[in-house]
Amino acid sequence: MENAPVADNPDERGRLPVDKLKRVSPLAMSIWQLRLIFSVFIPAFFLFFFYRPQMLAWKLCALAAAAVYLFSALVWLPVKYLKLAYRLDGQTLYVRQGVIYTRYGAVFLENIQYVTVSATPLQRVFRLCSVNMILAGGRMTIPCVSAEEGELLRIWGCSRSAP
Amino acid sequence: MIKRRPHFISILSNIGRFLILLVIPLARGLLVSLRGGFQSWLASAWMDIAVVALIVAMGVTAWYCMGYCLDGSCLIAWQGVVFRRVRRIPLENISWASIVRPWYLRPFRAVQFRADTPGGSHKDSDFSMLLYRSDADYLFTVLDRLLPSLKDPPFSPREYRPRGLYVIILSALTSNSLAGILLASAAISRVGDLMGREFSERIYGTLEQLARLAAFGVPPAAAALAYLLLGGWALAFAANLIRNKNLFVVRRANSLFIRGGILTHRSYTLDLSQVNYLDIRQSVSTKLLRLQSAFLHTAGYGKNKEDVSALIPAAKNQDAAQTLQILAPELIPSPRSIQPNLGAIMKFLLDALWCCVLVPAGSWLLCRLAPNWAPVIRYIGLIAMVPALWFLTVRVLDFKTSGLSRDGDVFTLRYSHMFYLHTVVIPKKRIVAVCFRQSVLQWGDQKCDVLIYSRCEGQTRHHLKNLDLKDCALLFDLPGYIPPPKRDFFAFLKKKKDETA
Repeated sequence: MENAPVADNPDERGRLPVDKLKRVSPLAMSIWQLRLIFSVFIPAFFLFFFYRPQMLAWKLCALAAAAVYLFSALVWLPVKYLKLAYRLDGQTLYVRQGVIYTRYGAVFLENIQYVTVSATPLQRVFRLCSVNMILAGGRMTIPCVSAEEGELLRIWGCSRSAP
Repeated sequence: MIKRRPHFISILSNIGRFLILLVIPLARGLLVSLRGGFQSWLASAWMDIAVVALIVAMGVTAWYCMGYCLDGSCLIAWQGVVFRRVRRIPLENISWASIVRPWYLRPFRAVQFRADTPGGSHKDSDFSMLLYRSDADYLFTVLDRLLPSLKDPPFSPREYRPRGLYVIILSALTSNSLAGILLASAAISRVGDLMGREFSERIYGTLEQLARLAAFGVPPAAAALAYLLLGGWALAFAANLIRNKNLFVVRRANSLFIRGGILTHRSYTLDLSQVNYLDIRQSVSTKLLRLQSAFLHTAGYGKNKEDVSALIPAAKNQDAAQTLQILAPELIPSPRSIQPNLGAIMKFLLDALWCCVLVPAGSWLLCRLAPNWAPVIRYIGLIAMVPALWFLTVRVLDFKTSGLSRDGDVFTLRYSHMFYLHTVVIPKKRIVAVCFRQSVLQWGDQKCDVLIYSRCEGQTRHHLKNLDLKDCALLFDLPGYIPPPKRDFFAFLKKKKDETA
């Protein structure tokens, strides 16, 4: 657990400031941007088969697709990346995420049933993975962490049964 | 280790699974009658008898291959003819067990026995079998004794029998019109199946006539709707009363024994160390009458909607507190220490206000679109305003009472969900995750909504609105989420000025 994102030193009042959370890998942005390109441009490509470029419907759809793409690429995804962060603090895992609503989640080690580490083909290309903490009554997911950190989180999650 | 089989009545339920095979004689009968008539059908009737015999044989074989036994520290259950499935359930993991004795099974001395653990399906019990009463009683006694009660130091059992009035109040509170309507329509359809379609149509016709006669100036369709809701509620009330009557609770060292029901007798034994939380529920009417009901939430307990899950059916606030001291002293609510600020009132009221505005607006719009139906729409709109205003009242009370507190390792959460006010008392070890949700509007004053996920087989979420983020983080021992102190702009300017001076 040497490289694990463990707690930094608390300040003079024994607090661990909220801005000391560790962000996920910056490569996450690349994956999300690629996913966005696929999800916007594939429908746009099919648009050619149904409408001619001169038609008003085509223009409106193209404009909507461009607006969605620009908003997502320039606002939504950067904010999502900046907000997504986590930290391990002894027996507690803190995960902060969300864009419009910021969710500060905390999971207690004693309630983790098991941990799954999964990777999509895109994540595998970038050597990233998603970690799912399965709880007795819920789940907590940290997407797009590096494979090494994913392994460390898995070991931490499974350490309850260790002597 | 004595192996036991389920009650022979379960052969009938096994046969039910194979009734689909009756399609074969039906199809054969149809084909033969089209070709050769009655004589040829009779000549090959042996085939139908063979199919029926096959169905019965399969039912009996399934029953024969089914069984259970107690093997030291495990309850072993097996079933299946071709695909055999054996389940080993460690007795120490069993959180509760129940015996249900329906009136129609009593002449056969058969009972439904169920036991559950915190794992497995969140819909079905881990062990469920139709057993002979003596076998079920033995199993129940074994499980009851293995629950931690007898492992702990001597403890004099405490008994609680609620007053009849309290059971009536509980039945009235938990009755749902829709459930009653569904029950009645299912019963009428079943009668129609048995006695002919004409008979069920006659019942519906009579009900229609009655609605017309008792309309009292109101449009007949609207009156029929109102009477339907009222009748459904009355039916659900009767069903609840039959289920909860004769409630009897015994508290032992670390387990609870609950018994109740008139026509169907139900007995439960619960391991208190497996209780997830205690839920004290109040509606607007019980809040005004200073009454409250308490329900226990244990993994699997209450999966069946007909289970008796109330610990205290309904009691005056003071009586309920005293009863809780007797039955569950480890789950006593503490006075709230964190509460929403006055500025958050709109967050509580907005949903309800939308309902109060949209219902009349929708009625007005519908009246304009369909003027022929205007009297009915107006009447329905008027009825719909009642729950909308009721919801608004719940939200006002929620704003006044909601909050969070902690007493040792036990948290008390006060919030509302739909038309009920909940006071949930939950031990810390039963909280699996905490989430502070902050919207853009809550950034300024560092408030947040607190979502608490409790331990269960599915997912149970408790939602508390607009509480102080820092106070909540301190209360839950989550120092990682204490927000940094706000920068005082004027102090910063003053400091700069002093430095330059």
